[in-house]
Amino acid sequence: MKILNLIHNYKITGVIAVLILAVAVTLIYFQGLKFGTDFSKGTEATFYSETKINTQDLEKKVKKDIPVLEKVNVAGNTYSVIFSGTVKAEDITSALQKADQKLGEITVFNYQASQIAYVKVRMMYSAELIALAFVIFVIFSLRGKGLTYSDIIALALSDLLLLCFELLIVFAGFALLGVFHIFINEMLIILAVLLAFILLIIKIFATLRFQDFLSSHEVDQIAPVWKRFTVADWPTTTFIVAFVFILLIVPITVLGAPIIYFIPVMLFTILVAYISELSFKILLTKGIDFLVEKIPLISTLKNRKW
Amino acid sequence: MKKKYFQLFFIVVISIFFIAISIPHLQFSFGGKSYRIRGLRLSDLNKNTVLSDFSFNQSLSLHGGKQIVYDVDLTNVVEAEQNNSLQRVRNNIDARLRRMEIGEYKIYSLQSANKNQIVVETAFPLSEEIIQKLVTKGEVGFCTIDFGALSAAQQGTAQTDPYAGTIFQNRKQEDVTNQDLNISIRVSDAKIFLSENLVNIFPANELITKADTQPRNFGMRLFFTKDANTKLQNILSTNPSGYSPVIITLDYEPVAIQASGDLNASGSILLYPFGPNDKVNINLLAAKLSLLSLDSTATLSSVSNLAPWGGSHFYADIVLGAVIAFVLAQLVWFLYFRKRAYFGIIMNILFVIWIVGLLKVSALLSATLDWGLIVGVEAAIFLFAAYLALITFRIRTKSQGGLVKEEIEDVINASRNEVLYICILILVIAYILLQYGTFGVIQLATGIGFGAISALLLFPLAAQSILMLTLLRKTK
Repeated sequence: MKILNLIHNYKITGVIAVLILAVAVTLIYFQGLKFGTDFSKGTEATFYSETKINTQDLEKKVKKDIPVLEKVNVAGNTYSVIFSGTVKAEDITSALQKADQKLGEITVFNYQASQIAYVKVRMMYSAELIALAFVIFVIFSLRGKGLTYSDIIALALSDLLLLCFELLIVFAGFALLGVFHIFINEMLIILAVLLAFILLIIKIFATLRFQDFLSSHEVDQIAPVWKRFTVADWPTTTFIVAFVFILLIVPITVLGAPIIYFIPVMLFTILVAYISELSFKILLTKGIDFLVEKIPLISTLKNRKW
Repeated sequence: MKKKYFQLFFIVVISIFFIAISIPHLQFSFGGKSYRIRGLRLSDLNKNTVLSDFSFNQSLSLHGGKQIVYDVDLTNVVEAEQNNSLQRVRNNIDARLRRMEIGEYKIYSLQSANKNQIVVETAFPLSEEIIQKLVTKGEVGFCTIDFGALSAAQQGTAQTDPYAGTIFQNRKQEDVTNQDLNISIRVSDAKIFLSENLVNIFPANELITKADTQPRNFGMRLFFTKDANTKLQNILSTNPSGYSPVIITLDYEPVAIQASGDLNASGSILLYPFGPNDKVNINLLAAKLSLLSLDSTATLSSVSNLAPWGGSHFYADIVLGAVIAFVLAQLVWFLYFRKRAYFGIIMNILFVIWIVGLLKVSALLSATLDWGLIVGVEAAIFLFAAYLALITFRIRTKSQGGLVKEEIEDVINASRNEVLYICILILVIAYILLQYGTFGVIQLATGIGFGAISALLLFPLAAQSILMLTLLRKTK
C-alpha cells in the first residue's frame, strides 16, 4: 500500500516524470538515433560456400571484431553479412576469415536500401494525424458529462502531452539500444507503433472509465475528482496492464534477440505511463485553470459546461 | 428470446465456417500411417472457381522467398555519377515493384569497385518471364495507322513495307515518349475486348487471335500529361471508327492495343494488353507506362532461395507464442472476474475466430501473412478484450444476485455507440498508418483495422445473447 500511496502522490510522480524526461532528452541528444540498414546505408559482404555454414556461430564470432554486424542472410549457397554504416572492406575480410578460414572469395559492397528518405516524414505525419484523431475522440467522449470547456481541454491536452512524453521515452530507448549496437529497423518500428497503439488504448479506456465515474460523482474541481478516480480505479488499471503484458510480451519473448531487447523499453514505458498519468492530469488541469482565470477573454470557459 | 437463439445460431454457423477455413495445412505420422489435415478451400466449394484460395500471401520474414540479383551496366557512366545512376535504377525498379501489388518485397543496391547490383527479395512466386521483364528499359512507343502508306498500298504504288505481314504493317511511330504519359492504371472492365471485324483486319499472328474478341478480366487505362494532350488528341483522331487502333510498344515490342470499346473517352485511352491475363503482368505493364524508362541496362545475374528472416522455426514460434499468451490471458481474466469471466472468455474466443476468419477471407484480396499482421491481430485482441473488461466492470455494479433482462439491455445500450465510436477511431488510425507506414506498419494497420471490423460485426450480434446466456436471472 505504501507503493500505491507513492504512485497516487502527484508531486512525487511529477518529479520522477521530470527526471525521466531529462534523462530521455539527454540520451537522445548525445547518443542520437541509429537506423539500421532497412532505413540507412550499410556495408554488405557476400561469399559463396558449397558446405553449410552455421550463421549464428559466424555472427557471434564476427560481432566480436565488428559489433555493427546487423544480420546474416542465406540465399541458396550465397551468404550475405550485412553491417550498419560504412565498414572498411579489409576489416570485414579479416574478421570473416578469422571466424572461418574456409570461406571462399569475399566481395564487399556498399549497401543502400530504398526507404531512407520517407521513414522520418511518414512517422511525423502519422503521429500528428493520429494525435489529432485521438484528441477529437477524447473531447467527443467527455462532452455532455457535466464538465466545463476548460476541464475537457485540459484532460485532452494532458493525454496528448503524456503520449508525447511516452514516445520520447521510446525514442530514448532506441538511443540506448543503439549503444549496444541494436539499430532501428523495420521490426523495431513495428514494435514502437504497437506500443504507441497500446498506450492509446489504455488512455481511451481510462477516459471511458472516467466517464462512468462521473455519472456517480459530483464535479466541483476536475483535479481532485481525477485523483479520487485514480485511487478508486487502480485495480482496473493494474488488470489491464497485466493483461497487455501477457498478451503481447509473451509472443515477442519467444522470438528472441534482437526483438527481445525492446521488451524492457516496452515495460518501462508502460510503467512510466502508469505512474505519471495522475501528475500530468492534475498539473495540467491546474495550469489551464490558472491560465483561464488570468486571461479575461477566455475566462468564461471555466464555468461554461460543454 | 427467439431473436437471441437465432443470433446465437447465426454466430455459431459463421464461426464454424471461419474455423474450417482457418485450419492450417498440417502433415503428421502416427502408428506408421501418414495423416494430413487441411482447412476448407474455395476449390472444395466450386471446381471452376477463378478466385485464389483461402490462403495468405507468404512473407519474407516468416516463410523466406526468392533473392533475385541483377547486374547493372554503368560502364558508360562517369565514375562520380555511378552511385546516383545506380540509385535511379533502383528507385525505378522499386516503383515498378510497388505498383505490381506482390505484397512484401525488399530492394537494395550493392556497389563495389567493379560490380553494381540491384537485389530484389520477395516471397511472391514471380514467374521467370516477369523476373526478366522487371528490368527491361521500358521505352514506350505509339504506332498509329499511316493513312498515306495505306492508300498507297491500296493503289499499288507503295514502297516495300519492312513490317508487311506483321501487326505493324502500314503504321508509323508517333512522337510520344515516357515523359508524355502521366499514369497508366489497371482496370477491370467489360469493355476490354477487340471486335471481330477488328481482329479480321490484322494479319494472322500470335498476338491477336479470335480469342481476343472475348472480354478480358484486366486491361489498362492510359492518361497523358496536360502538356501532351494535343498528342493524345492526334492519336485518338487516327482511330475514328475503331478499325485503326493504336498499338503500344515497350522497347519496340508490342505490349497492348487500343481496346474496341470506349473510343470516345477524350482524356485517356483504354488498352487491351497482350500476354498473360493476370494481375501482376498487367500491373507491371501499367507501371512501365507510368514511369520513366531505365537509363542504364540491367540484366539478371542469379535467382536463389532465401531462408526466413528468423530461421525455419520462426513461424511456428510466433504462432505458438501467440496461442500460449492468449490462453494465459484468459486464465488471468478468469482469476480476476471469476463467475463473470465466462462472458469475456467466450467473446474473446469468438473474436479470435472471427478476425482470423475474416483475414482468411480477405486473403482472396492478396493479404500477406507476416510478423506485422500477427502483431496487429494481437493488438486488436487486446483492444477488444479491454473493451470487454470495461463492460464486465459495468456489469459488476449491477450483478449482485445475477442480472435481469432489463439490466443487461441497459449495459448493452450504454456500450453500443461507444463500440461504434472506438471502432471508427481505430479505423481512422489504421487508415493513417496504411497511408504513411512502411510495409510492416501497413501490415500491422491491416491487423488492427480488421480487428475493428470484426468488433463492429461481432459485438452487436453476439454481446447481448452471450450476456443473457451466461448471466441472466429471471429475478434478483
